[in-house]
Amino acid sequence: MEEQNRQTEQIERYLNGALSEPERKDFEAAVAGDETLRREVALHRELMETLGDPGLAKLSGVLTEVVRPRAKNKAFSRPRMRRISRRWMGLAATLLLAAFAVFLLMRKPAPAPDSLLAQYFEPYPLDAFRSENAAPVAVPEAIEAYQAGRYAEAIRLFSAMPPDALNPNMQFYRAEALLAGGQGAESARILEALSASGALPGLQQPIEWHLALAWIQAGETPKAKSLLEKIARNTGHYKQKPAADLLKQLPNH
Amino acid sequence: MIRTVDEADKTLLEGIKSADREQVQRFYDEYMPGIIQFVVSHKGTEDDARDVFQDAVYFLFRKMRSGELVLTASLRTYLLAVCRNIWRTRLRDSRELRLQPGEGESAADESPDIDELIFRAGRDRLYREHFSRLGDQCRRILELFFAKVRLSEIAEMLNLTEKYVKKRKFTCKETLVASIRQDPRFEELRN
Repeated sequence: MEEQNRQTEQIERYLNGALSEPERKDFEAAVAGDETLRREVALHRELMETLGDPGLAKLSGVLTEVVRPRAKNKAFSRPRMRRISRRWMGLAATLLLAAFAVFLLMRKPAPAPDSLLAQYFEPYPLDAFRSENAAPVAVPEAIEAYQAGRYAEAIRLFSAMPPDALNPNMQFYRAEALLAGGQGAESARILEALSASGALPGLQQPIEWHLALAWIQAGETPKAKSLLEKIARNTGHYKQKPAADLLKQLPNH
Repeated sequence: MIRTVDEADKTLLEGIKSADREQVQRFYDEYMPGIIQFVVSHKGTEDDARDVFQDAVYFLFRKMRSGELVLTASLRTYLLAVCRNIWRTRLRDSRELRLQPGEGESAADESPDIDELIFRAGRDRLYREHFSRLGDQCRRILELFFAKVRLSEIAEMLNLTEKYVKKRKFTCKETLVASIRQDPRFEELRN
Protein backbone atom coordinates (compact mmCIF):
# COMPACT_ATOMS: atom_id res chain seq x y z
CA MET A 1 0.00 0.00 0.00
CA GLU A 2 2.76 2.44 1.04
CA GLU A 3 4.77 1.48 -2.06
CA GLN A 4 1.76 1.92 -4.32
CA ASN A 5 0.99 5.26 -2.69
CA ARG A 6 4.56 6.40 -3.36
CA GLN A 7 4.42 5.27 -6.99
CA THR A 8 1.10 7.00 -7.62
CA GLU A 9 2.46 10.16 -6.04
CA GLN A 10 5.54 10.05 -8.24
CA ILE A 11 3.46 9.51 -11.38
CA GLU A 12 1.26 12.47 -10.45
CA ARG A 13 4.26 14.69 -9.76
CA TYR A 14 5.72 13.64 -13.12
CA LEU A 15 2.49 14.39 -14.98
CA ASN A 16 2.15 17.74 -13.22
CA GLY A 17 5.75 18.65 -14.11
CA ALA A 18 6.67 18.79 -10.43
CA LEU A 19 9.75 16.54 -10.58
CA SER A 20 13.20 18.09 -10.61
CA GLU A 21 15.26 17.61 -13.77
CA PRO A 22 17.32 14.67 -12.38
CA GLU A 23 14.17 13.09 -10.89
CA ARG A 24 12.38 13.44 -14.22
CA LYS A 25 15.26 11.81 -16.12
CA ASP A 26 15.40 8.92 -13.63
CA PHE A 27 11.66 8.45 -13.83
CA GLU A 28 11.62 8.48 -17.64
CA ALA A 29 14.43 5.92 -17.69
CA ALA A 30 12.41 3.71 -15.32
CA VAL A 31 9.32 4.08 -17.52
CA ALA A 32 11.29 3.20 -20.64
CA GLY A 33 12.42 -0.06 -19.10
CA ASP A 34 9.18 -1.10 -17.46
CA GLU A 35 6.09 -1.86 -19.54
CA THR A 36 3.80 -2.09 -16.49
CA LEU A 37 4.92 1.33 -15.29
CA ARG A 38 4.50 2.75 -18.78
CA ARG A 39 0.89 1.55 -18.87
CA GLU A 40 0.29 2.91 -15.38
CA VAL A 41 1.56 6.35 -16.40
CA ALA A 42 -0.56 6.24 -19.56
CA LEU A 43 -3.70 5.44 -17.57
CA HIS A 44 -3.09 8.22 -15.05
CA ARG A 45 -2.39 10.67 -17.86
CA GLU A 46 -5.61 9.75 -19.66
CA LEU A 47 -7.66 9.97 -16.48
CA MET A 48 -6.27 13.43 -15.89
CA GLU A 49 -7.03 14.47 -19.46
CA THR A 50 -10.54 13.01 -19.58
CA LEU A 51 -11.77 13.78 -16.09
CA GLY A 52 -10.02 17.15 -15.76
CA ASP A 53 -11.41 18.49 -19.03
CA PRO A 54 -14.40 20.75 -18.28
CA GLY A 55 -15.56 20.55 -21.92
CA LEU A 56 -15.68 16.75 -21.83
CA ALA A 57 -17.35 16.81 -18.42
CA LYS A 58 -20.08 19.08 -19.77
CA LEU A 59 -20.51 16.93 -22.89
CA SER A 60 -20.73 13.80 -20.74
CA GLY A 61 -23.46 15.40 -18.62
CA VAL A 62 -25.40 16.39 -21.74
CA LEU A 63 -25.05 12.88 -23.19
CA THR A 64 -26.33 11.36 -19.96
CA GLU A 65 -29.44 13.52 -20.20
CA VAL A 66 -29.98 13.02 -23.92
CA VAL A 67 -29.25 9.31 -24.30
CA ARG A 68 -30.48 7.67 -21.09
CA PRO A 69 -34.12 8.77 -21.01
CA ARG A 70 -34.55 7.51 -24.55
CA ALA A 71 -33.09 4.15 -23.55
CA LYS A 72 -36.06 3.72 -21.25
CA ASN A 73 -38.93 4.70 -23.52
CA LYS A 74 -37.61 2.78 -26.54
CA ALA A 75 -38.99 5.47 -28.83
CA PHE A 76 -36.91 4.28 -31.73
CA SER A 77 -38.19 0.71 -31.52
CA ARG A 78 -41.82 1.36 -32.36
CA PRO A 79 -41.79 1.12 -36.17
CA ARG A 80 -40.16 -2.32 -35.95
CA MET A 81 -42.65 -3.50 -33.35
CA ARG A 82 -45.60 -2.80 -35.66
CA ARG A 83 -44.25 -5.29 -38.19
CA ILE A 84 -44.19 -8.15 -35.73
CA SER A 85 -47.10 -10.55 -36.17
CA ARG A 86 -48.94 -12.37 -33.39
CA ARG A 87 -47.27 -15.65 -34.29
CA TRP A 88 -43.87 -14.09 -33.86
CA MET A 89 -45.00 -12.43 -30.66
CA GLY A 90 -45.95 -15.87 -29.33
CA LEU A 91 -42.58 -17.26 -30.31
CA ALA A 92 -40.85 -14.26 -28.77
CA ALA A 93 -42.81 -14.78 -25.54
CA THR A 94 -41.69 -18.41 -25.41
CA LEU A 95 -38.09 -17.40 -26.03
CA LEU A 96 -38.38 -14.70 -23.41
CA LEU A 97 -39.59 -17.25 -20.86
CA ALA A 98 -36.73 -19.55 -21.77
CA ALA A 99 -34.27 -16.67 -21.55
CA PHE A 100 -35.69 -15.71 -18.16
CA ALA A 101 -35.26 -19.28 -16.93
CA VAL A 102 -31.64 -19.22 -18.15
CA PHE A 103 -31.19 -15.84 -16.50
CA LEU A 104 -32.44 -17.21 -13.19
CA LEU A 105 -29.97 -20.05 -13.45
CA MET A 106 -27.01 -18.01 -14.62
CA ARG A 107 -27.58 -14.57 -13.17
CA LYS A 108 -24.57 -12.74 -11.85
CA PRO A 109 -24.02 -12.98 -8.12
CA ALA A 110 -24.97 -9.87 -6.16
CA PRO A 111 -22.08 -7.41 -5.73
CA ALA A 112 -19.91 -8.04 -2.69
CA PRO A 113 -20.54 -5.75 0.30
CA ASP A 114 -17.05 -4.25 -0.07
CA SER A 115 -17.69 -3.20 -3.64
CA LEU A 116 -21.05 -1.65 -2.64
CA LEU A 117 -19.39 0.17 0.24
CA ALA A 118 -16.70 1.54 -2.10
CA GLN A 119 -19.46 2.90 -4.29
CA TYR A 120 -21.75 4.34 -1.64
CA PHE A 121 -19.86 4.91 1.58
CA GLU A 122 -18.09 8.13 2.34
CA PRO A 123 -16.89 8.80 5.86
CA TYR A 124 -18.97 11.67 7.20
CA PRO A 125 -17.05 14.95 7.25
CA LEU A 126 -16.24 16.50 10.57
CA ASP A 127 -18.53 19.53 10.25
CA ALA A 128 -20.94 17.95 12.70
CA PHE A 129 -18.35 17.30 15.36
CA ARG A 130 -18.59 19.45 18.41
CA SER A 131 -17.50 18.56 21.88
CA GLU A 132 -19.84 20.14 24.35
CA ASN A 133 -17.84 19.15 27.42
CA ALA A 134 -14.17 19.31 28.10
CA ALA A 135 -12.88 16.52 25.92
CA PRO A 136 -10.65 13.75 27.29
CA VAL A 137 -7.09 13.86 26.02
CA ALA A 138 -7.49 10.90 23.67
CA VAL A 139 -10.45 12.40 21.78
CA PRO A 140 -8.66 14.91 19.61
CA GLU A 141 -6.22 12.19 18.60
CA ALA A 142 -9.03 9.83 17.69
CA ILE A 143 -10.74 12.55 15.70
CA GLU A 144 -7.43 13.56 14.13
CA ALA A 145 -6.81 9.95 13.09
CA TYR A 146 -10.36 9.71 11.70
CA GLN A 147 -9.97 12.94 9.77
CA ALA A 148 -6.68 11.78 8.28
CA GLY A 149 -8.27 8.52 7.20
CA ARG A 150 -6.26 6.40 9.68
CA TYR A 151 -9.32 4.41 10.66
CA ALA A 152 -7.60 1.51 12.42
CA GLU A 153 -5.82 3.97 14.69
CA ALA A 154 -9.04 5.96 15.23
CA ILE A 155 -10.88 2.76 16.23
CA ARG A 156 -8.11 1.89 18.67
CA LEU A 157 -8.14 5.35 20.24
CA PHE A 158 -11.93 5.44 20.53
CA SER A 159 -11.95 1.95 22.05
CA ALA A 160 -9.35 2.94 24.64
CA MET A 161 -11.77 5.46 26.12
CA PRO A 162 -14.32 4.60 28.78
CA PRO A 163 -17.76 4.36 27.12
CA ASP A 164 -19.24 7.12 29.28
CA ALA A 165 -16.55 9.52 28.07
CA LEU A 166 -17.88 9.38 24.52
CA ASN A 167 -20.67 11.85 23.81
CA PRO A 168 -23.17 11.04 21.01
CA ASN A 169 -21.19 13.01 18.42
CA MET A 170 -18.07 11.02 19.16
CA GLN A 171 -20.07 7.79 19.18
CA PHE A 172 -21.20 8.71 15.68
CA TYR A 173 -17.64 9.19 14.45
CA ARG A 174 -16.56 6.03 16.20
CA ALA A 175 -19.24 4.18 14.24
CA GLU A 176 -18.01 5.87 11.06
CA ALA A 177 -14.43 4.77 11.75
CA LEU A 178 -15.63 1.22 12.38
CA LEU A 179 -17.57 1.20 9.13
CA ALA A 180 -14.58 2.58 7.22
CA GLY A 181 -12.41 -0.04 8.94
CA GLY A 182 -14.66 -2.90 7.82
CA GLN A 183 -16.33 -3.57 11.20
CA GLY A 184 -19.92 -3.18 10.03
CA ALA A 185 -21.60 -5.17 12.81
CA GLU A 186 -20.12 -3.06 15.61
CA SER A 187 -20.76 0.13 13.66
CA ALA A 188 -24.40 -0.91 13.14
CA ARG A 189 -24.84 -1.57 16.86
CA ILE A 190 -23.73 1.99 17.71
CA LEU A 191 -25.69 3.65 14.91
CA GLU A 192 -28.85 1.73 15.79
CA ALA A 193 -28.57 2.91 19.39
CA LEU A 194 -27.97 6.51 18.25
CA SER A 195 -30.93 6.37 15.89
CA ALA A 196 -33.24 4.99 18.59
CA SER A 197 -32.12 7.54 21.17
CA GLY A 198 -32.65 10.53 18.88
CA ALA A 199 -29.66 12.13 20.62
CA LEU A 200 -28.43 13.72 17.38
CA PRO A 201 -31.51 15.10 15.61
CA GLY A 202 -29.38 17.04 13.09
CA LEU A 203 -27.60 13.84 12.06
CA GLN A 204 -30.63 11.55 11.94
CA GLN A 205 -30.52 11.16 8.14
CA PRO A 206 -26.76 10.40 7.91
CA ILE A 207 -27.20 7.96 10.81
CA GLU A 208 -29.97 6.11 8.94
CA TRP A 209 -28.01 5.99 5.69
CA HIS A 210 -24.82 4.76 7.33
CA LEU A 211 -26.75 2.26 9.45
CA ALA A 212 -28.10 0.73 6.23
CA LEU A 213 -24.53 0.55 4.86
CA ALA A 214 -23.24 -0.96 8.10
CA TRP A 215 -25.92 -3.65 7.92
CA ILE A 216 -24.88 -4.43 4.36
CA GLN A 217 -21.28 -4.78 5.48
CA ALA A 218 -22.37 -6.99 8.38
CA GLY A 219 -24.36 -9.24 6.04
CA GLU A 220 -27.70 -8.14 7.51
CA THR A 221 -29.23 -7.56 4.08
CA PRO A 222 -32.95 -7.79 5.02
CA LYS A 223 -32.51 -5.12 7.71
CA ALA A 224 -30.54 -2.94 5.28
CA LYS A 225 -33.19 -3.34 2.59
CA SER A 226 -36.01 -2.41 4.91
CA LEU A 227 -34.23 0.77 6.02
CA LEU A 228 -33.19 1.65 2.45
CA GLU A 229 -36.80 1.28 1.33
CA LYS A 230 -37.81 3.75 4.03
CA ILE A 231 -35.10 6.21 2.90
CA ALA A 232 -36.02 5.78 -0.77
CA ARG A 233 -39.66 6.59 0.02
CA ASN A 234 -38.70 9.79 1.86
CA THR A 235 -38.58 12.53 -0.78
CA GLY A 236 -36.89 14.85 1.71
CA HIS A 237 -34.05 12.47 2.54
CA TYR A 238 -30.64 13.61 1.30
CA LYS A 239 -29.83 10.04 0.21
CA GLN A 240 -33.17 9.17 -1.39
CA LYS A 241 -31.75 8.50 -4.86
CA PRO A 242 -28.60 6.61 -3.77
CA ALA A 243 -30.84 4.48 -1.52
CA ALA A 244 -33.10 3.63 -4.45
CA ASP A 245 -30.05 2.84 -6.64
CA LEU A 246 -28.46 0.72 -3.94
CA LEU A 247 -31.67 -1.25 -3.41
CA LYS A 248 -31.55 -2.37 -7.04
CA GLN A 249 -28.11 -3.88 -6.46
CA LEU A 250 -29.06 -5.93 -3.43
CA PRO A 251 -30.11 -9.56 -3.82
CA ASN A 252 -33.86 -10.30 -3.72
CA HIS A 253 -33.66 -13.04 -1.18
CA MET B 1 -11.83 24.65 -37.77
CA ILE B 2 -14.90 22.85 -39.07
CA ARG B 3 -15.62 22.63 -42.81
CA THR B 4 -18.78 20.93 -44.03
CA VAL B 5 -20.76 20.59 -47.24
CA ASP B 6 -23.95 21.61 -45.47
CA GLU B 7 -24.24 24.60 -43.12
CA ALA B 8 -26.74 22.72 -40.89
CA ASP B 9 -24.13 20.00 -40.32
CA LYS B 10 -21.67 22.65 -39.16
CA THR B 11 -24.19 23.98 -36.62
CA LEU B 12 -24.66 20.49 -35.21
CA LEU B 13 -20.93 19.89 -34.97
CA GLU B 14 -20.33 23.23 -33.29
CA GLY B 15 -23.08 22.28 -30.86
CA ILE B 16 -21.19 19.10 -29.98
CA LYS B 17 -17.93 21.00 -29.58
CA SER B 18 -19.53 23.40 -27.11
CA ALA B 19 -21.65 20.62 -25.49
CA ASP B 20 -24.83 22.53 -26.33
CA ARG B 21 -27.75 20.51 -24.93
CA GLU B 22 -30.20 21.50 -27.67
CA GLN B 23 -27.85 20.73 -30.57
CA VAL B 24 -26.74 17.39 -29.08
CA GLN B 25 -30.41 16.47 -28.69
CA ARG B 26 -31.06 17.41 -32.35
CA PHE B 27 -28.02 15.37 -33.41
CA TYR B 28 -29.33 12.40 -31.43
CA ASP B 29 -32.87 12.68 -32.80
CA GLU B 30 -31.66 12.98 -36.36
CA TYR B 31 -28.98 10.30 -36.48
CA MET B 32 -29.74 7.78 -33.75
CA PRO B 33 -32.35 5.80 -35.74
CA GLY B 34 -29.79 5.22 -38.53
CA ILE B 35 -27.16 4.11 -36.04
CA ILE B 36 -29.58 1.71 -34.35
CA GLN B 37 -30.56 0.27 -37.73
CA PHE B 38 -26.91 -0.24 -38.64
CA VAL B 39 -25.79 -1.78 -35.33
CA VAL B 40 -28.87 -3.98 -34.93
CA SER B 41 -28.46 -5.30 -38.47
CA HIS B 42 -24.83 -6.16 -37.64
CA LYS B 43 -25.29 -8.39 -34.60
CA GLY B 44 -25.74 -5.60 -32.08
CA THR B 45 -28.51 -4.38 -29.81
CA GLU B 46 -30.08 -0.98 -29.28
CA ASP B 47 -27.99 -0.57 -26.14
CA ASP B 48 -24.87 -1.27 -28.22
CA ALA B 49 -26.06 1.40 -30.63
CA ARG B 50 -26.39 3.91 -27.80
CA ASP B 51 -22.82 3.15 -26.74
CA VAL B 52 -21.64 3.55 -30.34
CA PHE B 53 -23.50 6.87 -30.56
CA GLN B 54 -21.79 8.17 -27.43
CA ASP B 55 -18.38 7.02 -28.63
CA ALA B 56 -19.04 8.76 -31.95
CA VAL B 57 -19.88 12.00 -30.13
CA TYR B 58 -16.68 11.79 -28.05
CA PHE B 59 -14.78 10.98 -31.25
CA LEU B 60 -16.16 14.07 -33.03
CA PHE B 61 -15.41 16.19 -29.96
CA ARG B 62 -11.79 15.03 -29.84
CA LYS B 63 -11.41 15.30 -33.62
CA MET B 64 -12.58 18.92 -33.54
CA ARG B 65 -10.38 19.65 -30.53
CA SER B 66 -7.27 18.11 -32.07
CA GLY B 67 -7.39 20.10 -35.28
CA GLU B 68 -9.65 20.66 -38.17
CA LEU B 69 -12.61 18.57 -39.21
CA VAL B 70 -13.17 18.71 -42.96
CA LEU B 71 -16.15 16.81 -44.30
CA THR B 72 -16.25 16.18 -48.02
CA ALA B 73 -19.52 14.28 -47.71
CA SER B 74 -22.62 14.86 -45.58
CA LEU B 75 -22.38 14.51 -41.83
CA ARG B 76 -24.71 11.51 -42.05
CA THR B 77 -22.32 9.65 -44.37
CA TYR B 78 -19.28 10.59 -42.28
CA LEU B 79 -20.99 9.60 -39.04
CA LEU B 80 -22.00 6.22 -40.40
CA ALA B 81 -18.39 5.60 -41.44
CA VAL B 82 -17.21 6.52 -37.95
CA CYS B 83 -19.86 4.30 -36.35
CA ARG B 84 -18.92 1.44 -38.63
CA ASN B 85 -15.32 1.77 -37.46
CA ILE B 86 -16.37 1.98 -33.83
CA TRP B 87 -18.59 -1.06 -34.16
CA ARG B 88 -15.80 -2.96 -35.93
CA THR B 89 -13.52 -2.36 -32.96
CA ARG B 90 -16.24 -3.66 -30.61
CA LEU B 91 -16.74 -6.90 -32.50
CA ARG B 92 -14.16 -9.42 -31.47
CA ASP B 93 -13.89 -10.70 -35.01
CA SER B 94 -14.18 -7.87 -37.52
CA ARG B 95 -14.90 -10.40 -40.26
CA GLU B 96 -18.36 -10.57 -38.72
CA LEU B 97 -18.95 -7.08 -40.03
CA ARG B 98 -20.07 -7.63 -43.62
CA LEU B 99 -21.08 -4.33 -45.14
CA GLN B 100 -23.60 -3.71 -47.87
CA PRO B 101 -22.59 -1.35 -50.70
CA GLY B 102 -22.88 2.27 -49.59
CA GLU B 103 -22.71 1.57 -45.87
CA GLY B 104 -20.22 4.28 -45.16
CA GLU B 105 -17.07 2.85 -46.78
CA SER B 106 -16.73 5.72 -49.25
CA ALA B 107 -16.60 8.41 -46.60
CA ALA B 108 -14.26 6.58 -44.24
CA ASP B 109 -11.85 8.92 -42.49
CA GLU B 110 -8.39 8.22 -43.82
CA SER B 111 -6.52 10.19 -41.14
CA PRO B 112 -3.65 8.24 -39.61
CA ASP B 113 -4.99 8.86 -36.12
CA ILE B 114 -8.48 7.52 -36.76
CA ASP B 115 -8.07 4.22 -34.92
CA GLU B 116 -6.38 5.82 -31.94
CA LEU B 117 -9.14 8.44 -31.72
CA ILE B 118 -11.81 5.75 -31.88
CA PHE B 119 -10.22 3.74 -29.08
CA ARG B 120 -9.66 6.92 -27.11
CA ALA B 121 -13.34 7.89 -27.47
CA GLY B 122 -14.29 4.48 -26.10
CA ARG B 123 -11.94 4.95 -23.16
CA ASP B 124 -13.37 8.43 -22.53
CA ARG B 125 -16.81 6.88 -22.11
CA LEU B 126 -15.44 4.04 -19.97
CA TYR B 127 -13.57 6.41 -17.63
CA ARG B 128 -16.57 8.69 -17.22
CA GLU B 129 -18.86 5.73 -16.62
CA HIS B 130 -16.70 4.41 -13.77
CA PHE B 131 -16.13 7.91 -12.42
CA SER B 132 -19.90 8.46 -12.20
CA ARG B 133 -20.19 5.39 -9.94
CA LEU B 134 -18.00 6.93 -7.22
CA GLY B 135 -19.55 8.65 -4.24
CA ASP B 136 -20.27 12.40 -4.33
CA GLN B 137 -17.28 13.41 -2.21
CA CYS B 138 -14.88 11.23 -4.20
CA ARG B 139 -16.10 12.72 -7.48
CA ARG B 140 -15.79 16.28 -6.19
CA ILE B 141 -12.26 15.77 -4.83
CA LEU B 142 -11.03 14.01 -7.98
CA GLU B 143 -12.70 16.49 -10.32
CA LEU B 144 -10.83 19.33 -8.63
CA PHE B 145 -7.61 17.32 -8.40
CA PHE B 146 -7.68 16.42 -12.11
CA ALA B 147 -8.37 20.07 -12.90
CA LYS B 148 -5.01 20.72 -11.16
CA VAL B 149 -6.45 22.50 -8.14
CA ARG B 150 -3.98 22.27 -5.23
CA LEU B 151 -4.90 19.91 -2.37
CA SER B 152 -4.78 22.80 0.12
CA GLU B 153 -7.32 24.71 -2.00
CA ILE B 154 -9.54 21.63 -2.37
CA ALA B 155 -9.46 21.24 1.41
CA GLU B 156 -10.48 24.85 1.85
CA MET B 157 -13.26 24.62 -0.75
CA LEU B 158 -14.72 21.47 0.78
CA ASN B 159 -14.15 22.46 4.39
CA LEU B 160 -11.84 19.50 5.05
CA THR B 161 -8.25 19.21 6.22
CA GLU B 162 -5.50 18.93 3.61
CA LYS B 163 -4.32 15.69 5.20
CA TYR B 164 -7.77 14.17 4.86
CA VAL B 165 -8.12 15.34 1.25
CA LYS B 166 -4.73 13.82 0.38
CA LYS B 167 -5.68 10.46 1.88
CA ARG B 168 -9.16 10.53 0.37
CA LYS B 169 -7.86 11.52 -3.06
CA PHE B 170 -5.55 8.52 -3.01
CA THR B 171 -8.30 6.09 -1.92
CA CYS B 172 -10.80 7.45 -4.43
CA LYS B 173 -8.32 7.30 -7.29
CA GLU B 174 -7.28 3.76 -6.39
CA THR B 175 -10.95 2.70 -6.32
CA LEU B 176 -11.47 4.32 -9.71
CA VAL B 177 -8.37 2.74 -11.26
CA ALA B 178 -9.21 -0.70 -9.84
CA SER B 179 -12.77 -0.51 -11.10
CA ILE B 180 -11.59 0.50 -14.60
CA ARG B 181 -9.01 -2.29 -14.68
CA GLN B 182 -11.59 -4.89 -13.70
CA ASP B 183 -13.80 -3.89 -16.61
CA PRO B 184 -13.07 -6.27 -19.53
CA ARG B 185 -13.74 -3.43 -21.96
CA PHE B 186 -10.60 -1.67 -20.71
CA GLU B 187 -8.29 -4.26 -22.29
CA GLU B 188 -10.39 -4.35 -25.45
CA LEU B 189 -10.09 -0.59 -25.81
CA ARG B 190 -6.30 -0.54 -25.72
CA ASN B 191 -5.04 -0.55 -29.28
